[in-house]
Amino acid sequence: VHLATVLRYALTAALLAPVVSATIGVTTLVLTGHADPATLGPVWYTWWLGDAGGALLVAPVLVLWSTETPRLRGGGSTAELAALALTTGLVVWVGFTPSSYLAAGRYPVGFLVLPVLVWPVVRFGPRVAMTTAAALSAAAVLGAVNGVGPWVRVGDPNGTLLFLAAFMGVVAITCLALAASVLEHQQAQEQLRATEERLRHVEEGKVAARDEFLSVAAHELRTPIASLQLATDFLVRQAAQGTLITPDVLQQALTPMASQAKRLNTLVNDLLDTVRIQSNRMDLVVSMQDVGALTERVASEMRATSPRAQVTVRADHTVAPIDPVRYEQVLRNLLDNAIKYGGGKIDVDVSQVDRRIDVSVRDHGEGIAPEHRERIFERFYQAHPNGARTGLGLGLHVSKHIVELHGGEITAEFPPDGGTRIIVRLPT
Amino acid sequence: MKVLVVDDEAAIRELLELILVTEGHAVALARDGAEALASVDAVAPDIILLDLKMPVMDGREFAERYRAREGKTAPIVVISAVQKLSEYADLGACAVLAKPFELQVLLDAIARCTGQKAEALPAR
Repeated sequence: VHLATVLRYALTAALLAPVVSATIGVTTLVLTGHADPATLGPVWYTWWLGDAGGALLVAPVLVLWSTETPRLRGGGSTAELAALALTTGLVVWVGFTPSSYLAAGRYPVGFLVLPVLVWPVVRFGPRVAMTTAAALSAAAVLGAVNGVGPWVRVGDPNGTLLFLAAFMGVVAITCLALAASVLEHQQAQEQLRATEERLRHVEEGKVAARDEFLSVAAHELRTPIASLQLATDFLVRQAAQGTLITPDVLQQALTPMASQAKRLNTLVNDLLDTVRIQSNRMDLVVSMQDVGALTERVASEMRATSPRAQVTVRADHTVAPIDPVRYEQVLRNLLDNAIKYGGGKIDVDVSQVDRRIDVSVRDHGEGIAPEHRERIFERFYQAHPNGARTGLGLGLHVSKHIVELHGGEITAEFPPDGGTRIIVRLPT
Repeated sequence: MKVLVVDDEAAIRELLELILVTEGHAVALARDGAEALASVDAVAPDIILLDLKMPVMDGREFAERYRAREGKTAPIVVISAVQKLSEYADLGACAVLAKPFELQVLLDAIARCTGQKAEALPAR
């Protein structure tokens, strides 16, 4: 409900449209000889008034009661409605009935209707308001028929009609406009509340995601630190006890230290990369590189660190403008996922297709459940069940940005025979 | 003494094995709760070092199932990097160590938990 709409309706439908109908109607009457051209003015005016009154008073009441109209929130009670009806009755009696001294004397008490017009608008909404307005107008008309009320001009029926019409028009338009305005205000408030609610939800979601990330990050960072601490504490203890540490034991202690230090560094780099991505500060150092050779190098590196993984590479030795460090980072992420969630056999394929290079990494593991597939490139998103999660949920997110910085794209496929295939397409 | 180490982190498992064997204990390893549960009766550990966040079966489920089964129950020392260790107070662990922890703290916990058990036995 808009105030502007109501006013436009009042002006066009209720006041101007009847001009057309009255003019056509009266002209027809005169042309067919049913009306005397001398009385043309009053007849036209009466016709217009009838139509306009109908459109302004009767139509809104019918429409409001027969359709679903917006309710006024926190509206008045039944007792208040009864009080309104009683007061309206009182106003009608005082202003428009022959038994009232003021009405019979045709004193100018038309202003009495103001409170009972405004009251229902702000307390009960458009339905009750328009009904009250219609009742007041009906009372005014009945009063005028009986020759009582403030609008009666003795010996001047046309004048009476004019005042009556003006009264009804003003009552109807005031009531409609006021009701629309009140409802508009209420709707604006409701929208504001809904927006606030939505914002609060978003904010709560952000806080929850941040807390979740912090707890995951803390766990991931502490795990390699735990290994480093155990190994160093062990060596220190041995040394303090004066135990001769054999090269074999030394290697058993130092090997995990090296790998965990490296892992810690990767975690920190991934965290920094997400910050760089967020602030658009990730830069590439691009040079012409043999993508096939880079791929084979990363694959053999992964084979060395994960002896259980069977990584096979089939590569075209195509040269492309890429950042070799970033490319290796992407491939390491993809292979890391494939080893972690795929297990055994992993197929890596580097193919030149037209003017681009397609690098695909396919594992034959459990794959990714359909409900998680859409979100795997999101920051911090981990598609695997809680206990099986490792890492920060950043690998694919960072990889996607690196590939896109190269002008390429990264997509995921889920072959019907299981596993996951991630495809990186790079321009050559 | 026989120690069962349950942790999904290979580095932690291998280091704990190296350290505890050097300290003169016998060590058995398990990668997750399910593996541990399958081996407890054969291993018959005197103490269990238990990680919480593990795939397949996590530490909580393992502890519950381990206690629910028939047979001797060894004390459990929780070793975990989870943020809210207080949420695992109901696990009934003899000691809870937040990763990273000092080696001495672990050795003390093992001594204390197995010592308690040894003292508790004659009282029954």
